[in-house]
Amino acid sequence: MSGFLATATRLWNSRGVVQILIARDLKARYRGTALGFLWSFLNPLIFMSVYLLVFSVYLRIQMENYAAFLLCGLLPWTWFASALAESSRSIIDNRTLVTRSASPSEIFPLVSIGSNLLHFLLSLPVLLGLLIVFGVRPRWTLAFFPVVVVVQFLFTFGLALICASLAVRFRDLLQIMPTALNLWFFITPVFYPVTMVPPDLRPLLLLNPMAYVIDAYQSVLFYRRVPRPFEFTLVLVLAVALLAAGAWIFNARRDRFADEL
Amino acid sequence: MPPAICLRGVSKSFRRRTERDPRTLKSYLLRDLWRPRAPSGPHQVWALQDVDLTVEKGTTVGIIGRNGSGKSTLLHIMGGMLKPTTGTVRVEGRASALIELGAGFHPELTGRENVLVNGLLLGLSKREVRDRFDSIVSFAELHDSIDEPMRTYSTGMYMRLGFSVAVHLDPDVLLIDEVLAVGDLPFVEKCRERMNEFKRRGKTIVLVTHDLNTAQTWCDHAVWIHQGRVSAAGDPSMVVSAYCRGMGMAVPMAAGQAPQMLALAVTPGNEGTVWIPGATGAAAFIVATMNVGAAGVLTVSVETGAARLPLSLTICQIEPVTGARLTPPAPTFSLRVKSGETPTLGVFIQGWDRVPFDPASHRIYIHFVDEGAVTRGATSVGVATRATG
Repeated sequence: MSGFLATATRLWNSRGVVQILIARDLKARYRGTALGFLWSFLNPLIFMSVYLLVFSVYLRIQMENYAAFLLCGLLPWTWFASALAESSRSIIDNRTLVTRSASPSEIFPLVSIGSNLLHFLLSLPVLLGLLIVFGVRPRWTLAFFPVVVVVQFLFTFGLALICASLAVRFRDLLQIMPTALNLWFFITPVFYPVTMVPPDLRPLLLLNPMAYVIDAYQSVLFYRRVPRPFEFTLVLVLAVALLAAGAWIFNARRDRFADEL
Repeated sequence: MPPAICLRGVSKSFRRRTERDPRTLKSYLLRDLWRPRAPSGPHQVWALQDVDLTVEKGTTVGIIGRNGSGKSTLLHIMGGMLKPTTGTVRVEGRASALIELGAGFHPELTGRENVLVNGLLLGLSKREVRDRFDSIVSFAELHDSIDEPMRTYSTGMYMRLGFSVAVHLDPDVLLIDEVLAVGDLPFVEKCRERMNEFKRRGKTIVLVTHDLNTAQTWCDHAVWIHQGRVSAAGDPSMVVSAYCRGMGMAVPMAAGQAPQMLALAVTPGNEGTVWIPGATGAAAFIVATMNVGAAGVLTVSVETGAARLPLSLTICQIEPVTGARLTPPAPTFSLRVKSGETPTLGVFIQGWDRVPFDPASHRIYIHFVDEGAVTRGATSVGVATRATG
């Protein structure tokens, strides 16, 4: 626990560097592109259109306002998937900085998550605008939105610390990552509601914290109700536990980075 | 006053990655995660072993040794970029490493943005970066392109900016890994000037170098690392000649240095060489006195590294006087000596300053080939040399 606190303190002290690095990420990513930041919203929008075509038109899922529902889950999922993919590579990608930086190495996965979070947050006005267009007017449940973001952040960060530190030694992890994220996407209720999962199988969803994170977004944005209290609290506990585990594993491996990079 | 750098019993091992060493996640989870791996075994390579080293504040220390001897590893450990496997490292104050210059720059960002990011990561505050920014840019001579993305920079520009950021960290200890070869001649001069300023301000410098002349003339101490261990440490001339002798190599001597006996060991039937870095003045006069312990052929030759030799070169035997010789473009002078003779050779050179500057290849070799392959034990040739700049 003391290690956990020490990590948190050092990260807090490096917040200036983290800020600058996130800005660097954002600048570097869209420099030279015509549409710039819009891409962070266009990509999920393109996804949404294809899903809409496949599930609403071809497979004829009977669901009111399916487009709006899709969007509520797709944007946070995009944050999660790109953040995890990028942060897993972050130690390797920044190898020269990792060994010489005055700041703790945790900042690199943190920056990947942070810059993707910023994209997510920047696309929120567009999301809310579209929801209103689709006739889903936000209600007071929106107040839960930041809570869901925080929980997702904790969960992603914990997982990222594990993946980033293990990927330094087991590079195969980076090869599996896209496939794993793809499969994960399908077992997570992003383009279908939790209620479509047969009740017998639903306890299995508890093994996948992202299921109830996405479900919470759909609750506060689309259904305009509070997140499921039991499941969501469980996810919160899991996220904190994962973060502690991540910080521990990262700490244990930190000294070997230089040798293995 | 505590020393600037203090290494006690420092060893560093690396795992050799081989095909037979499948680094599977399973084996890792089963074994390594729960107990630390013993740092031994066939796949373990020791880059450094039991290094004890103290660098006093304000001194300049040169580290010499062959490729792969562990010099860079040592520098990385001093800079905290590598953790020693065993032993302790203590560094007083901020250390800045001039290693892999500019490696942290992002090609898509402008020089200006990169300076900020790099400066912050290396431990400066935003304010410090802002205050030093102009100085960093002007030192790197990048006024015109500082707002261009760095992918448009040439390698030299990259290095210059990296160097400039590193020296502007205002470190207490500067760790340099042969980066003075960065950039063109004027920039190298500027770097040297900057290094000298560091010395004057009482900062500590540790320099890994292959230029033995630099090690001798510029460093207060030298350390010879051989196969991961400290083979010799102390006075630079002593360490350099120990290094050269240890390598069966030539012993260099800096121009302007006081006459000195350089022992040259010659194994029977073999050859020994002494080399003297060329003087950099207009003329040089080198006197070599040899105490030959056995009969053999003594050869003096001059190498300049230049295709043509715009040199006036005289090699003569002064005592006993036998005459003079002038033999460019491949000037060599050979002399058959009998056992017990002590011939003195004079080498008079004019026009070093007209040869393209390349200190590494300006050398005068004194070879001795021992004919007495039957002689028991080693024969030695002592050379007293005086070079005038």
